[in-house]
Amino acid sequence: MIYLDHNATSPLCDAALEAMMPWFGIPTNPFSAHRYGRAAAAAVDRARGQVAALAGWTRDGVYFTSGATEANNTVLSRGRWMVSAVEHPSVYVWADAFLGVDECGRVRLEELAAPGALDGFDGLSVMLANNETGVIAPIVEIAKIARGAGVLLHVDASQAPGRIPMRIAADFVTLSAHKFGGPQGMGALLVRAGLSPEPLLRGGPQERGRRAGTPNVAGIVGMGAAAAATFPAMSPARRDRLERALVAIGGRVAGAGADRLPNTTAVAFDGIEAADLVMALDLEGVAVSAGSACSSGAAEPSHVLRAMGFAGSAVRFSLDAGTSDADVDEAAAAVARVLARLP
Amino acid sequence: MRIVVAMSGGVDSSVAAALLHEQGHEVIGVHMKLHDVGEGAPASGAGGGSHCCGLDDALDARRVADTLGVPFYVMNLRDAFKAAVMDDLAESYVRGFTPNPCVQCNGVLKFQVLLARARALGAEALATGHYARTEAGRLYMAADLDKDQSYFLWPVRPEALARTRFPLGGMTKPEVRAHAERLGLATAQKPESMEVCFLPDDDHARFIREARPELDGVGDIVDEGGRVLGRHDGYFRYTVGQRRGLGIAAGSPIYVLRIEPDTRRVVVGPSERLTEQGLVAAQVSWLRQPEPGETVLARIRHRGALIPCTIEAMDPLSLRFHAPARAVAPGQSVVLYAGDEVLGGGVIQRARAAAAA
Repeated sequence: MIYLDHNATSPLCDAALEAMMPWFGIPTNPFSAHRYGRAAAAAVDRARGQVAALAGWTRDGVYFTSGATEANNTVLSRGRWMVSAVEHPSVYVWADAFLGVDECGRVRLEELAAPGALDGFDGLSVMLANNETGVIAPIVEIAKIARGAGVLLHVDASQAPGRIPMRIAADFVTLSAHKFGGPQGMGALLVRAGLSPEPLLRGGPQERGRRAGTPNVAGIVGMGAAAAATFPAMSPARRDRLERALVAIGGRVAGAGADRLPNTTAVAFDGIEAADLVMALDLEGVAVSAGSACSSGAAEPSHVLRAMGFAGSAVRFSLDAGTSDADVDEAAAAVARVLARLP
Repeated sequence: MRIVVAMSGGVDSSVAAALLHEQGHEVIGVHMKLHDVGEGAPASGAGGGSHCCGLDDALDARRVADTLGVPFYVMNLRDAFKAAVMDDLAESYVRGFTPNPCVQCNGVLKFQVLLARARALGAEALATGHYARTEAGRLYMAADLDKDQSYFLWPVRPEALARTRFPLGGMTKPEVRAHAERLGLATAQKPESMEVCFLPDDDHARFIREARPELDGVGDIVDEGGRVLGRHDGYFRYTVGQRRGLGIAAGSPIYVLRIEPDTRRVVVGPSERLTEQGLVAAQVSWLRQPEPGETVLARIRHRGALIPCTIEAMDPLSLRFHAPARAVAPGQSVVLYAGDEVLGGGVIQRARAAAAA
């Protein structure tokens, strides 16, 4: 099986697995006064530093959560938010207004910079890199506009670590451990010094009162270890090789004209339902995805592609640093085989 | 052979998949997602969220596929289903017809759209849990005549049938349940579903209210002389031959004779006025075309009697019953048989006037 669905989830990396193992089978409540508790507290603090280092953030501004969804909900569930039209559902369900994108999936800066565009809003949320297309937002310009308008800026950076550099001038940043080799069920909310979002979960002093509940120590340790093992960036060579091969057999790349993550390509083939291609490729031994899935597992039309005015449905190929030339060549060959037997 | 099995989450399609798997075929389970219960699609704003129809059925189907260890996919066919079945259904009610949505779903969704998608997955055949038999592009009644579903399959094309498998066609329902038990399938004890899959609780009224609100209005119930006997709250609630639910006290039993959409009138009368000499049908489709003048057997409702008749015209199809038959309901399918073989069928447009026979 060739796994090209790393934007959905990446397998746990060796460094994380190794770091986590000793924390199973022992008592690990960092709020206990005894030596077990102290050891756990020290491990959590070390991991906090590792995650801070990954994102160029201060250690005390890192709050662990159960994942990116919880981090996004913590920030977005209060106040009035303008969010980009291509956000993850855990952000856009909170939208009070949408910020449009162009045909390449880039947020419309001129719309945002128009006088009064952010009047009446408490915050603006724009993801650093899109999960479906990989399109990267011009976050430096966006941050300037937000600061000028006096609104908070939240950046969901779940897809960025290990792929592009992470220096983000925002008030809040969301991270997801399992996108960069950490365990599932772990995320972090990075909060700028001086800010203090209302907790979503109450009833305990954990995470300095920002997030109640006994911390998942093994998970936190795993997230820290994965952060420490994450490369600062990734080469687009394999993705480009794959993209060239797919375009040569009729593929149309979503967001082709934009600055994109080096690991992601979303490709449409005219007249072909992406969902059909995903199933057929699974049977051919290539794991990819299309759009987002509903609870029954059926593919839903992509709100991201719709916002871009992109016709049709696209199959998303998302690589990691371990993907080889042979992997992408075989994936492209499998696509060609499937297309050949479609009507 | 690689075979896609349409798995609804019921016991029949579960056993169909399991038996093909047991025979050594490469089975791929597919569940068709056809409609939504409730709205709330992405980008609809704050607090939205996607609700899926038949989620439990999809989960049951997935459990069976997992038990068998075969691949399983949910295909989103909502748009195709709406275009092929639901729009047509609403239109049919507008005309005062009594539609068979399952017929349309089989003819278009399962044996055109799904079959094409099965081919895209590299499958040589499509299998379903229908109780019917097929051989070399021909269609026959199921061995178990109580369960026979051939009535719902008449629009399927011969080319499609040639790529179709009905593993349950030779079995009885108890045999199917026994296989489900033997194979340890999660759906073994699941009760039979009798309702139309996308009309929960068989609530046609709600569907019409949403699809065609203008139909949800009162009208008169009249006798054949035009005398008003009562009122109704939507003519789409009535079917030719219906006796119950008229809300009219009369000395002798009365039945719905016809529905007149133009005046919103439901015409009722005594039982003997329901007998007809023949019918006219449109949208005719043949699996094996008979000759004009030939005597065949007609079935005008699911589980209805087989009525000997003569084909008097082919297009539109005109049939003369050899003995009068009761309650010819426009919108229902007429299916023609030669022995146990399905020759084809059509959609009943009207009964043929007695004088013409």
